Amino acid sequence: MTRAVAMMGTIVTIQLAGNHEDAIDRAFGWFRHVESCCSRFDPASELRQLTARIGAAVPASDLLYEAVQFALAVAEETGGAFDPTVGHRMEARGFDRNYRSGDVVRTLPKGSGVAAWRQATPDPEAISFRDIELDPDERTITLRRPLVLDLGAVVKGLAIDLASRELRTFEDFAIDAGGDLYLGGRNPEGLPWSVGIRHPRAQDADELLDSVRVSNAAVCTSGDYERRSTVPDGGHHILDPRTNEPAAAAASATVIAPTAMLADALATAAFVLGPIDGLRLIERHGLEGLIVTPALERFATPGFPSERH
Amino acid sequence: MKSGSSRRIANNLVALSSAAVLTVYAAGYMKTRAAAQRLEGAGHRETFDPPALRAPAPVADAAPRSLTEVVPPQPAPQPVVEAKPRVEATPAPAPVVPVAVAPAPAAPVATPAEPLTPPAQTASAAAAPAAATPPTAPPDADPKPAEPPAPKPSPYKDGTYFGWGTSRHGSIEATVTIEGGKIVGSAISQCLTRYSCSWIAHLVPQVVARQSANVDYVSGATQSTYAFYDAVVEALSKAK
Repeated sequence: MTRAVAMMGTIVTIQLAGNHEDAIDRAFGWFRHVESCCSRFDPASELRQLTARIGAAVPASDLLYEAVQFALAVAEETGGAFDPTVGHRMEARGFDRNYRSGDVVRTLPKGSGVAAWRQATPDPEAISFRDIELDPDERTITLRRPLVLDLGAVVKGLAIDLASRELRTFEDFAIDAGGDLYLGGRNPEGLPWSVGIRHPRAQDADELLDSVRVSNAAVCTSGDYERRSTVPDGGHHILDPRTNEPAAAAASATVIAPTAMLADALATAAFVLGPIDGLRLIERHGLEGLIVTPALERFATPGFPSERH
Repeated sequence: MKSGSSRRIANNLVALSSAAVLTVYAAGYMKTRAAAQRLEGAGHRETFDPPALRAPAPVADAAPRSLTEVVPPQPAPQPVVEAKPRVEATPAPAPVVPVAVAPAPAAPVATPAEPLTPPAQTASAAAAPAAATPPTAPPDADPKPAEPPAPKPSPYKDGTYFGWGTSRHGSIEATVTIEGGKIVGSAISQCLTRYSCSWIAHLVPQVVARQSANVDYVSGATQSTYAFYDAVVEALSKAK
């Protein structure tokens, strides 16, 4: 059975062999739970409550604490190429709409744009993931400065992983959250799942960059074709946190990893880092990946399980 | 160039992500939720219960079908809030693509492993309302049964609603049908894109036409998925 639900800003699809409504309900329950906790757009979310309390050691739920801890570890590992504090920058570029309610969320003054953001944040270049402090004993999070936390690249993956953990006993299942995937076991034909990788310049849905066969793995891709900013000159949605400009070194970055959380975060980081440093990062973790430049040059890890090359 | 310390951190990321998933999962839905609510203090949060876009029955193939096949038969006249005779009386000229439920394979043919449902899961799920079942604690972790939250009243009024979503490829109109406060059907009723509706059928959601390029799934977000999501959200905003 397969069910598709509109959530987390995209369409989430879960496919499971057999008829197990209750299991799929529980799997989607995790998505709902993660979304209500970690949404940047919902003022009632735990994440937004946290960002409203600057300078205080705020006790965090396991979910938020683990998500932030992981995001900081990736930020540290990538030298800030991945940075969960890009929130203000995202907002300045027009990512201020709650895609669920259609409401515009604004923590910046009116007159959107990069100029307004620079005005609202006196020393924007100085804000980084290093302004977030964790206390592992008390499980508290302290934000040392006003900032907007954007855990998007982490929590969608985490929701996929929690849902896949929920479905683990069924062995054969697939979770698709807007092109971020986890494939458990085998497909209905009894083979490892066949996963196409979207061509970043495809004019046709059938045009794929590559395809891979995977089992019990997450496949996530960050591309410059993702949801466009509503600000005319805002560019695509992945910023290089080190320069505050849209990342331009890659058109698409794909990572295959044991968890979607890791695959999604590293795909985002590799997209920012570009082919050389990006692949270095992926290989350092013993993972497989494929990075394509805007000129459509391919860079893949030696063990990338391509079906075409 | 990379020092030993960065290598150590690098190795930890794989383990860290797995540990994070286990920690959150083992803590279970209720515990994480409790902490979240503690943070909010006395304030009561109205959470939006996202729609489960379900069609009445799985369809057998991926061919585009009409809207009436997606929306279950209505015993009483369906209140159409934003009357668009195009949909009510005559089918849209473009093929209408069902999106609520993907064409499920008839049976998992060559899969030897039959899915197993642990008794604990079955029991807790059976006791919980189907629509609002929260994730329960894993069978191999904290055995404490998670209590489902009290069902919230549906924010939606019954009817059929329309919404538009736009991507750089063009616009998609979604139709959402609500019955008894629940979403029972959802479909693309119109698409004004640079490409034909059959192209959209390949992308929204991918499962509708998974035969595309002979792969099961495609990694990488699609514009038309976003557009469809936006269209559903707009349609639902009219249902409140």
